[in-house]
Amino acid sequence: MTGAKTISCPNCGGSLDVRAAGYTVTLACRYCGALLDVANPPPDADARIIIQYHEAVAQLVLPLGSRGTLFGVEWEAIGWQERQSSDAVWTEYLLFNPYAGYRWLVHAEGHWQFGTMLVEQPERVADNEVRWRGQSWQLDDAPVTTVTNRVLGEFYWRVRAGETVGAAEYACGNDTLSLEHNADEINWTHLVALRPSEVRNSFRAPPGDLNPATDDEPDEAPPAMGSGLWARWIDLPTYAENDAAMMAWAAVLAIMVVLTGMMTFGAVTQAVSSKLTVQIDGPASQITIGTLSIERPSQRVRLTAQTYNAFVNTWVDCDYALVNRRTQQAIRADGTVEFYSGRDTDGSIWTEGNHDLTLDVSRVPRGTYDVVVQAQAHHWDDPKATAPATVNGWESVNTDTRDVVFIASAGGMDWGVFFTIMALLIAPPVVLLYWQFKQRQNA
Amino acid sequence: MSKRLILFAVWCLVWSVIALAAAWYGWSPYADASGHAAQTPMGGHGGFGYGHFYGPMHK
Repeated sequence: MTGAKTISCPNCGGSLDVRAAGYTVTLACRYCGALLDVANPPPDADARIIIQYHEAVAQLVLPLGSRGTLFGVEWEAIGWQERQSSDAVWTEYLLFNPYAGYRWLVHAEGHWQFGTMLVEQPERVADNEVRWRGQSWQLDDAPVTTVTNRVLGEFYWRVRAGETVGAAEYACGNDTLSLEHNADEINWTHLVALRPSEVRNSFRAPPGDLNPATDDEPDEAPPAMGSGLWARWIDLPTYAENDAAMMAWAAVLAIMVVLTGMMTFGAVTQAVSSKLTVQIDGPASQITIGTLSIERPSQRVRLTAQTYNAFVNTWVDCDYALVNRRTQQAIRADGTVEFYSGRDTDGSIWTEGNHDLTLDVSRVPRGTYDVVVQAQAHHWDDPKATAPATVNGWESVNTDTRDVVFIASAGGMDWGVFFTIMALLIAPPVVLLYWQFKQRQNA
Repeated sequence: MSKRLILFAVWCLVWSVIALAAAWYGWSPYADASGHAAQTPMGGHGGFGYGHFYGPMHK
């Protein structure tokens, strides 16, 4: 992208790329931190030492030389500085494109902003307000003094650690106008918020120059917690997005609340039961299972019929009626308990059906109900059977009656609704995680 | 807190309230019958096995 030039650091001998050769005035050595003048080098050297440092240089989230496309322009990170005000520390990357010039990428507490230096001056309206491009910008916090702690890389001005400037920020929506001034000049910068994923997905470190996560990335680096599946989960690149992880936790919390609430509200408040003996191929039998009182505006009623092992090749039609004692109106539900067994031509035994029947009646209105059931039993003859089939080899299937136990209960957990709600709650973070993961893979 | 998180919080809240209300009022889309369906006077019965084919499906 740029006409890069390689020089040797006169302090430590390290090989340094000057990425914006011809524009860069000051270069901070990436190995020893020495500040070099590359605009006016002595005749026998590539650069002149301005300030000699021996401290360890910083590890950067975006290594210098990283390139990324933001707002349709490919930028290269050529300089970095750590700055501080009374109560905050942040870092600023100087981006360069030979056709578009310089921009700033500001990183503070996990938040990123893209900064464009203004050519024009915003109009001052009041002590705490300026106007720029027809919009009013309000002063955000009191003006502060900022100091540059550390610098690395190339700059188009004489940068140095320890430099102080006065600073103030004006906000309008999510955008910020940053004012910096010293005795010599006033600079305004328009800062636009970026999502961490935009920066992460846009910038690639140059080959062999990938730095590990550093203390410069306080809330984006995955915390070291546990191992195995959990570590793999949190090490997903999308975890750093934070939103997806917080959404997943919120979903888990909501699911726990829903489960607890549904089990509490759906608890069985009353249950009655009766046993009915039905005659095979005989007339319908009727019994009143018991009386249920619905105290809420409405409640679910669960009707269960249970049969036993001798119930083979038989079906029982169950016709329920919840008869309101006051109105004599009936809420009806019907179903069939059926269980069949036979022998295939290869001698293997097959079975089909269940020994139980459960019917759920939703929204039964408040009232007192007699739960009545009519049952009629029939036998099915296996046309292929040469001998009566049995379930376990000794029980007879040819008795004339069957016992059926009927249970009616007010309340009962609805697992169908719970699992549906659970899917609806967990789907958004899962979809987001998957989408971000694919984005990351495609980046 | 981002807009996405706020939206998701609202999403969770709405579905949680629906789930709890459904449990309290005994509503379910999976129920076999509804107490709010047309109620009939008591007498006779619903007709055993109407529309039901008995016997196994096993071939």
